[in-house]
Amino acid sequence: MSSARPFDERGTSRLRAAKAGASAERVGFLWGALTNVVTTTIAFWVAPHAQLAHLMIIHLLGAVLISTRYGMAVSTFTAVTGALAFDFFCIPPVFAFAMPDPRNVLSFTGMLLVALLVCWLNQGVRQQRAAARASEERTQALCQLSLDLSQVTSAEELFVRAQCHLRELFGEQAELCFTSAEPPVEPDFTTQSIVDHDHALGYIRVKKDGVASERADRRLLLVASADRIADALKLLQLGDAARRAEVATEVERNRNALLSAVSHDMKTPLASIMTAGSSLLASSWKKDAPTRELLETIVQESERMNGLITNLLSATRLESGGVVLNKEIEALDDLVFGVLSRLSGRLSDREVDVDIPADLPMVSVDAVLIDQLLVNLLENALRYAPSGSAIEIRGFAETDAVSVEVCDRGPGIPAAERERVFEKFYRGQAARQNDGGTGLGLTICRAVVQAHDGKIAILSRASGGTKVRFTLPSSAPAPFAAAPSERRTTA
Amino acid sequence: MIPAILVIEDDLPMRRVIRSALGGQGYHVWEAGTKRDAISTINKSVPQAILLDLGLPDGSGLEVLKVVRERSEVPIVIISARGEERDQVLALDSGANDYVTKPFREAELLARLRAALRSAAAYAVPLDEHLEIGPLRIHPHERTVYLNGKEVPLTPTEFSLLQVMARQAGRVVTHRHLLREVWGGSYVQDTQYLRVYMRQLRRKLEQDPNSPQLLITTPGVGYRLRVPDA
Repeated sequence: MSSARPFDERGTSRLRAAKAGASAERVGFLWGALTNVVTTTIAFWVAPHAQLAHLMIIHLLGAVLISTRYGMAVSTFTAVTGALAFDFFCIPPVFAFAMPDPRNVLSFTGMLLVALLVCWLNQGVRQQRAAARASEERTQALCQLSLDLSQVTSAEELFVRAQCHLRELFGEQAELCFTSAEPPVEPDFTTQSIVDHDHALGYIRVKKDGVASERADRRLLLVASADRIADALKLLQLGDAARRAEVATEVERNRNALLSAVSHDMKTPLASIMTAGSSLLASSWKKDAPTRELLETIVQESERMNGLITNLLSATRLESGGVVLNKEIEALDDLVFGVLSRLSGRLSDREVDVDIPADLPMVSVDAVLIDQLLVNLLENALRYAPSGSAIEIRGFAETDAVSVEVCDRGPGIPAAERERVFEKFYRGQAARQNDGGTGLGLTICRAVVQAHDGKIAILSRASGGTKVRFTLPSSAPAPFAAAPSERRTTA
Repeated sequence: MIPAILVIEDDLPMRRVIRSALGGQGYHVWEAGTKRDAISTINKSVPQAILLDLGLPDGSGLEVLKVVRERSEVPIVIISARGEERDQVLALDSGANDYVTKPFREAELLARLRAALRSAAAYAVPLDEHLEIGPLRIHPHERTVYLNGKEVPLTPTEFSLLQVMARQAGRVVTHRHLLREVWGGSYVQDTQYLRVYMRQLRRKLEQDPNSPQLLITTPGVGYRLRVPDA
């Protein structure tokens, strides 16, 4: 991996600079002394041909040169020793510190003051430059950290890399810890929490070090590092969540595909069984009552099993989003009549009361799906309401929508369960007997209604029983005035 | 003449069941399990009716349908599974006469087959001969309809709609077919007209418009004018 390259040396230069500071200063004193030796030699050599002011310039030049390179101590040392050498070797009487001429005292004092002033000014420039360089290094270190952390693929890798960076930046005692616990408080250490929206992810602990101004810098760097690590952790977690979701979707898709294939294959033999059973039943006028009853059972149970498989298929298809709605303008009464005529055999001992006004707005729906919705609702009514009781189907218009209610006189569904019965495989309290239900019927109803941007709910019925109401958006009012006029045709 | 029925179905057990059911009614049964077999059988001799499964191992039943329709108006009943409504409609609009959805009872299959054979015969009836379907008597020439002997006043569109269905009584008629025949080719998408006129027709012809016994809805496909004991 490209990010596995060794950590950049730039991040460590500050540390090395700090260590090297002391020895550099020692070298500085030597350089200061050497410079003074050189300037004094030159001055001594040119003295016979020059005035005192020229010699003073030569000495000053040495002090200024040193002050551009070294700190206040070395510069001051060079300026003072340079001034003394100037006095000793150049100001008459030569080879003595005495200055009988008061003008020479003025020259000496002036030179010393100018040298010190230049040292002081240069010191400011040097500090600014150093601060600028430090800030640049900090930025680079953080960039490097972010870049490295953005390429990790696991929390372990993130930890190792971040730890490595922190040790380079803050010394070997820097410590990274991923925990939601509070960091321990120790006087010699500075701790910085790594947080994501007030949620603790861990902390960094570094040894207190350096002078006050450096500490402020380190503090800034520490806070920024903690932020970068928090970002990287968050990114990693988001990536994990996305991967998990992807796997879950894949599993769900495979399961649906399997269910779909299996149920489809089950339908083929079932169709033969049912037709064969009905054939035997049709020719069974010569058979005895128990045989007829057995044959009737074969046919009815195959029919029921077919219904269950159909529901299972629909549930998986609707859930996986693989259903393309085949919408057409439909009249709900029309669809209700279609279902009633198909279920007429099983509804023969019920009184079905249909109340759908003729002027009910039409809906743009997939007729096959709405048909299945109605079949499921009516089958529930048949299953749970006592034989002989009435089933009511009512339709009414609402603003931009059409509602249909299917009501029965069964045990009803308690308010606490009215939402849960729509969940996959959930069975209501009253339904937990061996009644042939699967807990899929209402799930499909809801999926169908939602696919049509509608709503479905179970409502309380004052006089007992269950009332299921579904609402579908009504299609734009049919421009019936524009319908082709009645015309004679000889079809 | 004993009618010969060609059963085109790839599932052997299902074919066996159908063979037994049809045989019990005195039909001759020819069988084909693939598209190739079916087409070669038809090339040799055209049966009196065809039962056609849409899902064949070597192609779609729709292709067989096309081949048959190129040479013959023999009644074709589609055998299909639930969830294949689109293919059903496609088959019906491509010239199939009716369909039956798996799983079906023997009685349903026989009823569809009889209706298909009968309406093939009905097409042979001159256009202006009157039709009798259950309680209905339709006089195309006078454009009058009698329900249990009493005349029912229908608007011209209502009459056309009923007439199209009556000529294919017992068989499903697709929305597209009804719209084309009654309103004309440019109205085949306008199912809302159909809904409105079907509602009016039911109000005039059904004993209880809230429990239709004559004009039956087949969701997603079309309408069927029910023939008693069929």
